[in-house]
Amino acid sequence: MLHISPIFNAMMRNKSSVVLIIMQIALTLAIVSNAAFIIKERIDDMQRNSGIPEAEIVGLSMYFYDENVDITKQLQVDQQKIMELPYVIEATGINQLPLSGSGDSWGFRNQPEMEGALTSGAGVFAGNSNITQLFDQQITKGRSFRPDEMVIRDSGANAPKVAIITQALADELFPDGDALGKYIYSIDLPFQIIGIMDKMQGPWVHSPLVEKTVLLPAIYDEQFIRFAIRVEPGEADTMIKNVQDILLKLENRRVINPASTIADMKATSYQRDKLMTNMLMVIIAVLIFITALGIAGMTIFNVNRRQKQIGTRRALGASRADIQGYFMTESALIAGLGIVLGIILALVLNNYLMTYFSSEALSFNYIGATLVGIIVVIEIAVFIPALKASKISPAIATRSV
Amino acid sequence: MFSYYIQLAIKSLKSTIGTTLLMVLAIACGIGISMTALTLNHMTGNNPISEKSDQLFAVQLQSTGSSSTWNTTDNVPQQLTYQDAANLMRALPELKHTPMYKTGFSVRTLDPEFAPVLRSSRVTTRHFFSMFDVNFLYGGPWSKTVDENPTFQVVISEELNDKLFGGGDNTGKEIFLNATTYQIVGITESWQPKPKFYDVNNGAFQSTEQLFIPFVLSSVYELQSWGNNNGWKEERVNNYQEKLNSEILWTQYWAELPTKKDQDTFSQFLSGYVSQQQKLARFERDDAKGLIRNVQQWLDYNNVVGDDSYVLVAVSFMFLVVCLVNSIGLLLAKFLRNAPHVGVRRALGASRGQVFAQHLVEVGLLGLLGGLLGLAFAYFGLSLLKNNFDGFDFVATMDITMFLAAPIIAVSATVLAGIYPAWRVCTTLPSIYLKTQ
Repeated sequence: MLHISPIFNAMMRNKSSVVLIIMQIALTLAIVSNAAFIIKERIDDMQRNSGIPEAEIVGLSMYFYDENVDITKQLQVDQQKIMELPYVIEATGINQLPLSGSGDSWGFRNQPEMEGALTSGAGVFAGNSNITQLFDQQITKGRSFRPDEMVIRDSGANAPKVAIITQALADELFPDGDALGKYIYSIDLPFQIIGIMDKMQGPWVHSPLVEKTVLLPAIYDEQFIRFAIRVEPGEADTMIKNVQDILLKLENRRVINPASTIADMKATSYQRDKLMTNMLMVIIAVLIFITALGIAGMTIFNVNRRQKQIGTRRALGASRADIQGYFMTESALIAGLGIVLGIILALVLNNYLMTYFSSEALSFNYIGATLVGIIVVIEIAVFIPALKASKISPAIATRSV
Repeated sequence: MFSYYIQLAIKSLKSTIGTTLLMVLAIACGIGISMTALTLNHMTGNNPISEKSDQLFAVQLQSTGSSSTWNTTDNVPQQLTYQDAANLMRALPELKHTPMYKTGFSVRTLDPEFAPVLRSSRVTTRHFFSMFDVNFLYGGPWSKTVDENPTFQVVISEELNDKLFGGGDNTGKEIFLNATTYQIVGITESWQPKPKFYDVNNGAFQSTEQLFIPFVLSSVYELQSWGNNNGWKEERVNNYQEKLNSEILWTQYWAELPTKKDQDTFSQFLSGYVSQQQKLARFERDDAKGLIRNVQQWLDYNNVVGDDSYVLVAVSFMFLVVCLVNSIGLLLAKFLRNAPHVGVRRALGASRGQVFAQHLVEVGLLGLLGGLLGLAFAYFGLSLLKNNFDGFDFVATMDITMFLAAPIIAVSATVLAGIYPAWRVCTTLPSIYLKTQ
């Protein structure tokens, strides 16, 4: 370990292959740390708590094609019949489904006049008065809806008077923290905030509005409408299988699309992120493998080329450990140079990603972790060839090649 | 000479089978991953109507309020209001241009046993079909009269025709769209442009609509938009008529302008329309304007390919570079080990150029092997994508460009990588190796 100077001199004799390994290590470090960082960002997004029991809520869309069907009344009948099933906890006709990628957002203000108002968009869910139970929402401040607060929204005049909003929206519109009991306004409609829920994500998982959600006690009279059912854990598949038949039996003048859980809709919404993380993971894995093989290959080559020198050193009294240490130190030196260059390259690459692709600043943890990983991989890759080198017999020195 | 070099190369590669396999594998991995990313990028960025891309224009109007901000690079909304669309469609009858939006219906045949199906529908004018080169299997678009006078006529797709009737010429027959009967006037050939350039609102890779109905029906028949409806104005919209008169943006507008003159005419007309609307105080902004963008510009403007795709291409090509650097190192090692042989060949009269060429041929062969294996890897990668992600079917088919690109990139990249090792080996002095060590 103390012979850095001769090792360094030996390396300088063979500059080109050293430079190549340094480049390879530097590039690997830059790519792996940035890719790992992107993966982490995406996985964090995908694993955010949505505030909803995703796997226990079954959603579907349906379309009433016959004008003679009283849609809002039918939705109430549907709800009643579905609720009679033993494994159903809650059900309602609803305007949109969380995490599904499509739905309604409204603009809200904290005062009736536009002038000087704080405004924010929010995903709006309108369902029956038990909608908080449907989404398993704990109302941290205030209360849930009462049945008498529900309105049938068949004309513009019937609008609900009360709303339950998420803490995120309350913080946005009422920074002083006194949202409960206050009114929020959408165009000219006022809604009193009767409850605040901790967390519930809206329909668009990639939107900045995702945490800003409003629940309204209203059933819409729309031809195209959704239906959401919360079941006991483990019963979602049974529900998905039977729900179409059950509903069509109640009223067949409608087309009912196949049902799925919110968890499945979420998976579809995050599909591109999953694609990105999967591809980057494959790249990282293969890259490390290739780099390790390349370094091992180069070391094997060096060992073979230096057989005679190794033999000579052994004959002159170098121990096996000395030889092993020699190659390990050599690789550590090369790795060190590669790492310095790699850190610079990683930051340059991150800077490029930030400039052109609105990525976040790379945290040093990722470079650090990648660095440790790469050193481990390099030393493993070098260990076996170095071990082989240490076993070279001193007698080889006496042979002519 | 070339075939002799190939023989030498094969011999040389065989003699160091381990290193050869390692290099081929490295190149194949690099090519496989970068080709997967590149195909994904290439197919999502595909221009599905390239032959007419410069003649078809998406029309935009800056009609939003003075303080409205929009999520586009130039702050102009992608869609038009219904009233603007209806106004524009009546102008310049000598040119083809059409409003459109997406709606949907439950579809039934007259057969009471037929279980209704839900299908999305495009509401547009008869120009749609000729503008976008939609071919007809039977019948054709509705007539000009139908575009002016509400008539319940419909064009359906081959897929829907098969679903409803099991195929065949069914023009003239009637179907129910919701509760209304429509007469089928045309059946289109299957048409699935990817990306769905004419309406990228709800994801650029959605399926094409299977029903087409006259735009003029929207005013008499309350057709809901199944696309994006973006409002910016504080206005109550309680019924359909109010929606038609509102400033809500929900229709797409396209024009076919084959010549420069047509484009100028249309642009001039748009600016005239904008100033007229400004005078009426409907368009509030000082920078209110009309814009046209051709198909390619429209796809770029809407960032159809997406940032992720470019990042993946960049990362995977950097990965390819690592694989190549790796190969350069191994090639250098391999070639230099072979230097004594080269020394002998040089001493026997081989020129530097010949030695260089011989080594490059070997590298090229390596690249070709790596490229072909890489192509197989890419094919495997794309099938994985297709099977694990919904809606990625279209990327799983590598087109001929991508198919040829893989070996070409592989060979040229490895040859480029091989230049240095080959140069090193051909510049070694023969005399060194003629001495005994």
